[in-house]
Amino acid sequence: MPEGPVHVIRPAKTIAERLGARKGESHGLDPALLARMEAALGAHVAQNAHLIPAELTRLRSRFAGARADGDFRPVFAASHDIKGLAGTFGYPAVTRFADSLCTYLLSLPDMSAASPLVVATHLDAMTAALESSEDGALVEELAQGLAALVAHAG
Amino acid sequence: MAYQFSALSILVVDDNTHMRTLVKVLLHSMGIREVREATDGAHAFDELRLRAADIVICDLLMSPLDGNDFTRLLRQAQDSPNRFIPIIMLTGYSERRKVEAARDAGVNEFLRKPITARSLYQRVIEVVERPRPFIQSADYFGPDRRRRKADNPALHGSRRAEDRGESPDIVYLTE
Repeated sequence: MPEGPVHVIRPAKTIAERLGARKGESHGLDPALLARMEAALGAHVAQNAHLIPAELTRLRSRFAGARADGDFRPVFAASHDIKGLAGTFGYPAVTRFADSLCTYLLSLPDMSAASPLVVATHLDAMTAALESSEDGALVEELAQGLAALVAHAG
Repeated sequence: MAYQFSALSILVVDDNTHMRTLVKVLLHSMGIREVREATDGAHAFDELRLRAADIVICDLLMSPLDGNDFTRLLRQAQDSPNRFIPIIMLTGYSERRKVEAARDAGVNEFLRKPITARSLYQRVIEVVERPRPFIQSADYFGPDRRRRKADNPALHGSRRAEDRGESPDIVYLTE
């Protein structure tokens, strides 16, 4: 229980009022606006089809650096970026494998103890998912293989 | 009448340029004209001191000042440009302890990556239509953490003393 008084402070003016809403009025999601947003997102994804392959290349480069100097934190950062982006760009399996790699690296007491085999296999799985246009059967096979590999490495 | 989103000013804080661009594209498609960018928490704090914004959309994992540090700074610093600004936290994490840490720092809403048009729109609408009162106690300043607990699966089962209505002395104020 907090010590002392608890003050509840209500903002004097709400954002809704600034946006033209009357007090207590709510509009929820406007389907037409949502459609415009989805169209804009679709166009952005189409214009940037190179992005996820380029991010995978960056991840491979970071991995090469980690193999040389033992610092896997840049690998984690690049994988974390891919995890956040790939799903939006149409590659949910790449996001899934990047998430698996991030989880593996975070599970280590020290990232410098990362197994190069586990990292390399995750990279190969992401590349295979990308190149196969996320073929469902292949993705499941890869996911099972990665889970077994991580369990064995742990 | 629909919301006039053109009146909104939003600051997007993420160290990844592609994520900032993606969020900007979506916000512009909502009709929001003023979308500014910052690359980390320290940059965002300076940016808000230069010019106000209505909402901050902020990544969790950044360096040197991450999303939680930035949120605490905004909520608690004596020289904070706006202690009440709504913060939507972008995160690739879904573990309960990460969500709770961000909530305890003073985050209003969570937007899980990978983001979609609908998920971003929903979070903006939440901030607009369901603004939380702010709580000031000896150990916390930020949006009321109790109201939307049931909406967040990561927080199910959390039963703090204040959740049980045991706050000793509640004083209602206006900003």
